[in-house]
Amino acid sequence: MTEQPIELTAEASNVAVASNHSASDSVPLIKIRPHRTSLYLELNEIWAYRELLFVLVWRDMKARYKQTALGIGWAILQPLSLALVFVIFFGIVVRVPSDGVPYSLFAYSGLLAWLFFAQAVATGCQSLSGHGPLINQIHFPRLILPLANIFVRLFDFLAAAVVLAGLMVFYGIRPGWLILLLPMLILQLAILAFGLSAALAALHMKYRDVGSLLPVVLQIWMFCSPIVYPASLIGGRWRRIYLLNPLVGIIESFRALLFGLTLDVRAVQISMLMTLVLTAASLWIFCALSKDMADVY
Amino acid sequence: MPAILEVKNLSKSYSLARSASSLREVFQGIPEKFSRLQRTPAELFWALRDISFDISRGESIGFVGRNGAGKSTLLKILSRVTQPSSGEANIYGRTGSLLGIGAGFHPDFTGRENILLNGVMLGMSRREVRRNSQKIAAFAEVERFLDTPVKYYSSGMYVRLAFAIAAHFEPEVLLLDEVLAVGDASFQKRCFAKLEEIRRRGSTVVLVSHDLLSIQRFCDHAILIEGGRLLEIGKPDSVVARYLELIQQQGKADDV
Repeated sequence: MTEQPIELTAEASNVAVASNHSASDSVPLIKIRPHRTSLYLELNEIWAYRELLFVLVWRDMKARYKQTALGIGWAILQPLSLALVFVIFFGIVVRVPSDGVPYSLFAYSGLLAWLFFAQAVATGCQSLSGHGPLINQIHFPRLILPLANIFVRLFDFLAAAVVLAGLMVFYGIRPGWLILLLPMLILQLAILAFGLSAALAALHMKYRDVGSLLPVVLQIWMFCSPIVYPASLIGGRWRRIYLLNPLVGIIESFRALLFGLTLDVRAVQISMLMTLVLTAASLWIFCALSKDMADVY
Repeated sequence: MPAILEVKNLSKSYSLARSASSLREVFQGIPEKFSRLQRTPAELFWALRDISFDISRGESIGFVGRNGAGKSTLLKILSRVTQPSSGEANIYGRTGSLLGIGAGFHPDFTGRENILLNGVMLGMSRREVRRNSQKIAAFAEVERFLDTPVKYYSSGMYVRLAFAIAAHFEPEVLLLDEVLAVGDASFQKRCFAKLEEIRRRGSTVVLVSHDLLSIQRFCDHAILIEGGRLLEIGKPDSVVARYLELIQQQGKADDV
């Protein structure tokens, strides 16, 4: 591709509908120039297209009810059935320690957070390639597709969280006041999933291998995260490397906030830093790849 | 009349060197990339080259040209679906485009739901769509099937609904790529009546079509594109005549 001088001023933007266009006829409403996708403009445009975001989330939620008999029931059944398997094998047969929390509660809470992340990344990876005609025919900020996917997955997460609340009542476990920090933690997890899925979706447009590689990577990632075993099992010098996985800090804090365990502040700090680095790198990849998306498809 | 659309030296090129489509090809290509550094860069294909023209408010314009001449690429750039490689364009108003049929349609959704879905995708607000959905359904003649999933629609109903949504968007510039050819004669007639109404309101219609007669009838100006270049701009009759001449010449050249 020959890239002519790139204009990247604020006005060389794609910023959509301005409402006062009739007032000033001399100012173009839409300027079309060769330019690189900038994250700032993309985010600006997402705000302008927030109705589209809403409608895309509505569509995906509704499509599931139309196409599946159980609808949102699957959001609960998936973590529940997996947790059952883990309780039998790791809780009863192998007797994995669980930081003093009943193992079923331990496994379900870990799976709840993990499945939100893993499914958001897995379905997010297809979010661009699954919308070929849209990308080819309609102008909109592309980042809105992986973003809408995260919101859909958040609804699943909330539905499955109801079961967790039920289990906690059953076991008589009271969360501490730190549980008020839980939304922040979920936000961090959602941002990480959003960034990664956006980069993967852009890569998937170009290299379809990504779609085959991802399930393997996610499988390995799950066992490198404290889902079925506590992070306290990893000690010594391995722990420093282990903590670089942002999900370690997130899932450990998730349980700490829920069950009133002690919060590992250092793990939280490292995971926040890693989330920031990974998300920034991912969005950079997305912007670099999104320029020719309609041509690639 | 002030210009509503200015196009200046717009070009679009594609690299002919096949880019890698799998990770294996990326890795295999690495040594080659290093050795190629000294050699000339990949060959370019110019889908559009140095296109310039202006359109005034309320005018409608038709693009003619053979398959692969670059008409659709131009419309894609003006719709901001793809980017130009160089040059620029300014549009002084809201654009709506219909580059294909039912891009955002979901087969399991009802007509009513798809009107909302597609309307918002085209740039309408939800309120705008709801206000117009009855009119859209009436225009598309699908009122009775508004609560039927569109997967049960005939292809004609499908097309009519898609066109009706875009036509009721009321943009200042409406970009249409060869979408009218699909409907039957009576629907096409109503489409052009609708386009006429849009034009009378002061909006601009940009039309790509192989239906030369409708371009001659409907458009104020026509542009002939050949091999990515603007060959002629002017009154539809003379541009269409030039286009037919071009095809004839090509036919003769093929015979020899």
